[in-house]
Amino acid sequence: MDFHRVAWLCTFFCFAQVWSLPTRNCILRKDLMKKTCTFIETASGLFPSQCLDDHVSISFPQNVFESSNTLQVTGVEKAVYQTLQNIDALFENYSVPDQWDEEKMTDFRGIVYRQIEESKCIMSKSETEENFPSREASLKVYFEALSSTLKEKDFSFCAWEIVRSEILRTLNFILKHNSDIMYGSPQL
Amino acid sequence: MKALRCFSLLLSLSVVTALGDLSRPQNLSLQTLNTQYVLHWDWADDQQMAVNGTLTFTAQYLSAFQSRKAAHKQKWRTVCADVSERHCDFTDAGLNYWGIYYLRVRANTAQWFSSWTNISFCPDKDADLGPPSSVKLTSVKGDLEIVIAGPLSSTNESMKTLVQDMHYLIQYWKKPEDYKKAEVLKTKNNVVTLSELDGSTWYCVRVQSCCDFYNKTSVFSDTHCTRTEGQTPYWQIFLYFLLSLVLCFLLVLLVWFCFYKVLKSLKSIFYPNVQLPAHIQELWSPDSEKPQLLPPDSSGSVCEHLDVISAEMDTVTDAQSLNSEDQDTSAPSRHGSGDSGFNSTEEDFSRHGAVTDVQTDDVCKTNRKHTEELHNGTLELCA
Repeated sequence: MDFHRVAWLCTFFCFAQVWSLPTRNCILRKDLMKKTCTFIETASGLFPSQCLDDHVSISFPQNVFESSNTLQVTGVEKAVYQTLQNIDALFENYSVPDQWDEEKMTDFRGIVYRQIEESKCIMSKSETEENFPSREASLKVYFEALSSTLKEKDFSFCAWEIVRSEILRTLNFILKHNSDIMYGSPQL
Repeated sequence: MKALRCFSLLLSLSVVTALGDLSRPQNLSLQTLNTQYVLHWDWADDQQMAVNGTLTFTAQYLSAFQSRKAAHKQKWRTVCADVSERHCDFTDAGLNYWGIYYLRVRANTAQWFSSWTNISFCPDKDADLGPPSSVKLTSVKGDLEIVIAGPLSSTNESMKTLVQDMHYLIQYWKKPEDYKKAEVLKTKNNVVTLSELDGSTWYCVRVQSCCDFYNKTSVFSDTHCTRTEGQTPYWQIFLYFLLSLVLCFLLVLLVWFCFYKVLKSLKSIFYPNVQLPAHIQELWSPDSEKPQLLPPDSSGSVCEHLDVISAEMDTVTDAQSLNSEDQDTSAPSRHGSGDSGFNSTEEDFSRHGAVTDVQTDDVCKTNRKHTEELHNGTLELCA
């Protein structure tokens, strides 16, 4: 009898988890993502020509943000959220060069933090085919490559510019390919 | 048990020591409109007596992501330093619209300062949206055109740059009814045309701005009412037609009357009704006998004798001249006397009537004299 009760409770919670309707904030916002892009883009100028020699090629984990079918949408959502978390951690641990616009960097970090705080419930979503752990692993490798670049080049201005260009590339890729999972499409 | 007693004692002690400090501000609230943020707080006024000196407040803010650092590393920015009011304006403090901020206030005196009271604030999420800055309503050919100017930030920029998904909610209803029966139209455009409305009816309109993501709605703008153009009713058309008919008729009548008068006056001038007498009318005909003043064949001049009697003689002589007048046909001219002299002599004649009988002889003498003189005074008038 107890076993039956437990089984029923388990199935009930299981279904509740799967069918849990996402709340308003359990979605990423396109306008906030755009603003994030704008802030880091304008924090400094174009990629400086003197840093072209320093440039290292870091493989971009494109597959992390791609979903082959609609069942993998949650996985992509989580990957985007994870990217934001990693960006936040990167700037939390290391201080940016003085040549960069401090106000823009403060705004940038503020908006990244806000997205992380407001859309926390994304990480508690679950789907059958999301394969998030593999995505998470790929992202981890990518961000570790970025931080190692910084350390190797002794946190020079060029090293930071490389990291900045990589982050910009990531954010632009997300905006271009993953706008459908975000709130804020052109229609009313 | 002993530990418990010890702990409770320590707790009570800490509470007692805290009461010696200044109490911190309470009831922090934000009054917001678009990008205007004003922080209000209360402070326990019952402690006012215990305060020595002036009481001031300090307000600061911090970007939320910096709160993860250690307290001494956090860069709090002061917005209001030692102000005596119970509010602080954060509008120009440089708060980013999309960030999360912690705002804090404490009370200060010369010796003491209270602990901080914190509040979390995100303008995008918490700031109220204002109504549209202007709503213009015009009637265009049976439809109503509404021009909406969106709410403005503190730097007079449209809030649409900050709130991407802002849209307007238009309520419109017929004037006699209430806004509760209003129809609602949702739009992102600034120029909206309401169509399929009843003609010649009064409609009222009011607009509010809304944001979908946080379900923010502003207060409504002022209500504007106008009347739609419509088809003129049939009775109006008929009335105007009748009026124009009557006017035309009166105009024609006036013109005809004037024409008639002119014609009549012309006729009276050139073809009068009243005819001249026949004997006068004859004069206008070329072959009539006109009375001649002068014979047509007299070439010379015609002369007439004229006796001139002087007016300087006495009244007796005047009476004499009167008698001679009966014989003479030509009128004598008198020097310096007109008709009035003639009248006076008549009176004199009646008065001196008796005198003349007596003085006749004398008169006869003088008369003879006079006639002699008169012969000298004869005039010849020639024409």
